[in-house]
Amino acid sequence: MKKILYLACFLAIISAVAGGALSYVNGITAPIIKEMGIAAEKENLELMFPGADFAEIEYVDETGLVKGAYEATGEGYIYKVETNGYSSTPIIFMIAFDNDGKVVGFTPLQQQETSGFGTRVFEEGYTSQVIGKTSADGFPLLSGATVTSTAVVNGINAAKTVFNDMKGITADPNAPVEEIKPELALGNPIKLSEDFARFDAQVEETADGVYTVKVKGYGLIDPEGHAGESGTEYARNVFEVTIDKANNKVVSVVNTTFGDTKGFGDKATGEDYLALFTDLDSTNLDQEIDTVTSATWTSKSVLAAVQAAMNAANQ
Amino acid sequence: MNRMKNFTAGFLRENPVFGLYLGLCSVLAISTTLNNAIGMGVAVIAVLVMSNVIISALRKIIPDEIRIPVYIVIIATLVTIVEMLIHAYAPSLYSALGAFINLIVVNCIILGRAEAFANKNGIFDSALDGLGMGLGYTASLTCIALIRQLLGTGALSFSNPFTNEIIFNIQIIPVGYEIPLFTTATGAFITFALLAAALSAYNNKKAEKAKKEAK
Repeated sequence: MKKILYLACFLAIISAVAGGALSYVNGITAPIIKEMGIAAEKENLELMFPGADFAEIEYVDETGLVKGAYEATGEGYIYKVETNGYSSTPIIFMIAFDNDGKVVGFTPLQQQETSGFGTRVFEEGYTSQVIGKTSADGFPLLSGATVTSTAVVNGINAAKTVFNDMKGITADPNAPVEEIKPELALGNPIKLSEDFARFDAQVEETADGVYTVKVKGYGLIDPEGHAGESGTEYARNVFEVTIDKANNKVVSVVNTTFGDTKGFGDKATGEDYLALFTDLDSTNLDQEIDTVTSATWTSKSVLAAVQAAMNAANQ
Repeated sequence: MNRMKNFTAGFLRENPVFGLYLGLCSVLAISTTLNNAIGMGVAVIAVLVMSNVIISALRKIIPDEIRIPVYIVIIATLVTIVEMLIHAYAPSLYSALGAFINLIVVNCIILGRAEAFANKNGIFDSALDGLGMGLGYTASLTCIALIRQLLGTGALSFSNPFTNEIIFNIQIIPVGYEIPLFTTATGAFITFALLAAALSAYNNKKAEKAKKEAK
């Protein structure tokens, strides 16, 4: 009995001495190792929380999109996310949450998305919708940049999940996911008095002051001769133009049927563009209206419809 | 004279890798480049010498019944310390060797020498024995790595593990004529087998000579 006790004690003492030696060496080397962990990312981390103390932290991520997690002591957490968007080069970005769960930083590190479409994900119009949201919210998609924005939102959601799991926050799985419409790119103003004969606007006053106009668009006019190649069947665009004859004002322009190029022409038939016509002087055909860039023909189709309605109202 | 004999035992007569076939797992996995081989070799020498010294110093007080667990605690602690030091000061070596640093604990050479020599001999002798065996191990690893790197990539290179600066990088076999087989496990086995056979032949010849002289 005494022997066994002696043996056990001896082993315990040896282990204790070993443990002591280990913790001593650990004390020396651990800070160096920690510093190495964040050295690679230091520059990028500084973008999110300038001047903070960073440390690389462990994380569990089932999606495989989160490539690194860092804690800025006392300020928040930063996640480095890599996801595949539209181009073959992966998108790498960082998203930072503060300790309350609010998104305080969202910066791309690498991306080769389509200029003017996918690249909008990192421009003011979208980032202002991301920064300020909390980790419990849903993040919006970008119409016209679906592939890129879906990839980025998946990445944000992955980082969000890691953050929420760590903090114990439950995100609302049914949080509404909106779609942000792109800002209209307007240019090249055209007078309402222009010759729109090609558009063959057919006007009918269906109610007092309400004119239903059927007008050709890009697809049917086919100025370059290959509209039919995609196999899409084009039809006339139909607009309902309401004019207040007593006050000579255009009240509204509504697109009831769209028969033109989807993804391009529909920019000119959306509410944002048609709102330009509200409150126009319906007797003045000399005024210039902007057209939508890359949807010029469909914009002119709208102008042709409005011109026809105004002419009918002014008779 | 005896000391000299003991020291040189680790190189040819009792070569731990080609003669005693100890610690082969790491040998086959690590010996792809000179850097890795020498890095691993130095780590093993460090652990071997220190464990031999400590065990020899404590040999009179370690109770016989629990000597193996005690050896293991000592060796594991030393290996962990070495691993932490490598991680902090030579990170490129750390990522190259990876899990094999920790496998030094179960490298039979260490436990074998502790049991066969250190617990029966004085501190200085044990240290010398550890050094000899470690150098023999490193030399063997380097031989394999030389062949594998030369034939497998065509170039011989070595860089400072602490600062990553390249000390030399010579392309001996022109690119396109190298045999990538040697960087794989198959090549490792082939190289090892050939070198082990060569050592065996050498030792046999020596034994025959000794027999003839004895007659």
